[in-house]
Amino acid sequence: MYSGPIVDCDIHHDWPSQDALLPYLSAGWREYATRSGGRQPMPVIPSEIHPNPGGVFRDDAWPQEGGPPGSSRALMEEQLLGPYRVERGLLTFGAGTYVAANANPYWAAELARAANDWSIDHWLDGSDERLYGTALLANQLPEEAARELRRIGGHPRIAAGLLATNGIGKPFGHPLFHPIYAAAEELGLPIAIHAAGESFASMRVSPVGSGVPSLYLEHHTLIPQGIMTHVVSMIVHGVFEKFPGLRVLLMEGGVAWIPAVLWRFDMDFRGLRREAPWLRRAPSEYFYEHVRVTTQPLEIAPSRRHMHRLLELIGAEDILCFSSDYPHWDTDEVADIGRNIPEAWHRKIFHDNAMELFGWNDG
Amino acid sequence: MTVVRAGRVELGIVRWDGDQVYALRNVCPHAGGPVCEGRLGPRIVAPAADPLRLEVDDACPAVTCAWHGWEFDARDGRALAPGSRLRVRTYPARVEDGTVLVELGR
Repeated sequence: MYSGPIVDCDIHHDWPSQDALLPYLSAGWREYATRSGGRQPMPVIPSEIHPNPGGVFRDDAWPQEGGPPGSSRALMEEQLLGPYRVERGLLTFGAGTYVAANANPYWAAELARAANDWSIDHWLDGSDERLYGTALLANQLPEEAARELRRIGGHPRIAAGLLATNGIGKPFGHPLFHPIYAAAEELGLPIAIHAAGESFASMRVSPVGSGVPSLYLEHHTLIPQGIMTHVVSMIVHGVFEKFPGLRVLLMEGGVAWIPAVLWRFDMDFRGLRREAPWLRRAPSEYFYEHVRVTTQPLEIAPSRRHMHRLLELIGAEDILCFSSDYPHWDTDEVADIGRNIPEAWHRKIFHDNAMELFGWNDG
Repeated sequence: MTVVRAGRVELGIVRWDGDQVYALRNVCPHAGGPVCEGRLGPRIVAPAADPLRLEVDDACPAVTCAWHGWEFDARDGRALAPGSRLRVRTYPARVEDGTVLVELGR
């Protein structure tokens, strides 16, 4: 079993109650959020289309003191940080991750700002040196999202900007999103793209191609589709030509699709180059230089031989970064992932690749 | 662009920029398609990598394969898509007394 240092690139921290955000809202938005007098909850995130019938959390991750999984630092210590050598963990929010699913772009921007300040105050105050944060970005208004990233991106514990839901109904390569990438490049921060962000009724779009799935099982199996869409879009639109210093971390979108999509992408580019002549390299070259991918949920092949062959085809040694996705129901365990990855790659995938991505080797 | 036969070899003869001629084997290195039965035009470029400003490189005669649309520079046969090392075979060609001469070699 791998016993070296670990960087966990996807830990969902949460507020004990969404009322925790109230002190961080402006007076006007606080009044807006509480006008019902508590008779209805503050509308932080719209309803998901596909509820997990068992809930989205590990059953053992509910804190005894109340609040949702991910809200107790003590339990996180007991279940994740303590048992493994997690030397650095990237916090990616719980209920707030999909703030860009809100139909109201102004409320979403205020929520993101409040959530970021709450996260900095309660989790990134330096009392636990292992914890690093993401800047939650309400991308319905990309210029505002860029402003928010610039506002807090210089904080020593903010390690990335976080995009999840596409708040304007376009894949993330669309030029409307580019102000966010300009800010990220300027700050030297990667952009983390968290999967499954389009599975909200408010989005009025299907989270996957060809129609809206009926069951959570369908939805969850097909989550990689959304990530494929975003990364192909970013490459085709020339995001990495325009922002050559930009790095991207794909989260929770799986990894097995990578060879299939990149092989097809390169092949199609050869016949369709004239449609995107601003690309100066093969699509796969942009991917391997600019994109890193979190492991969870790692698709486990029926045999170890097939698993290792798949990882070789992916180029996993250089691009995968371990993530647990704690405290969700499909959390990946260090020991299990270690068994399925060649030992010779453990150090890079559990630690070194993320350290390089976040610039943490530079001191 | 005209396709002619020289013995067993099918050639595409490209006339470009008035008096320049190039000769390519009419076989696409991608999937064996009739590359010279496709289209000929200047290479589309984005000099500043800016999608809003497309231009053409008139110096580059781009041959687009009839089957899958892969593009090749008629001057040296190289694929235009960055990252591809495929190349259409080319032959030295010149015009003498109004006749296109192609050196097929042995």
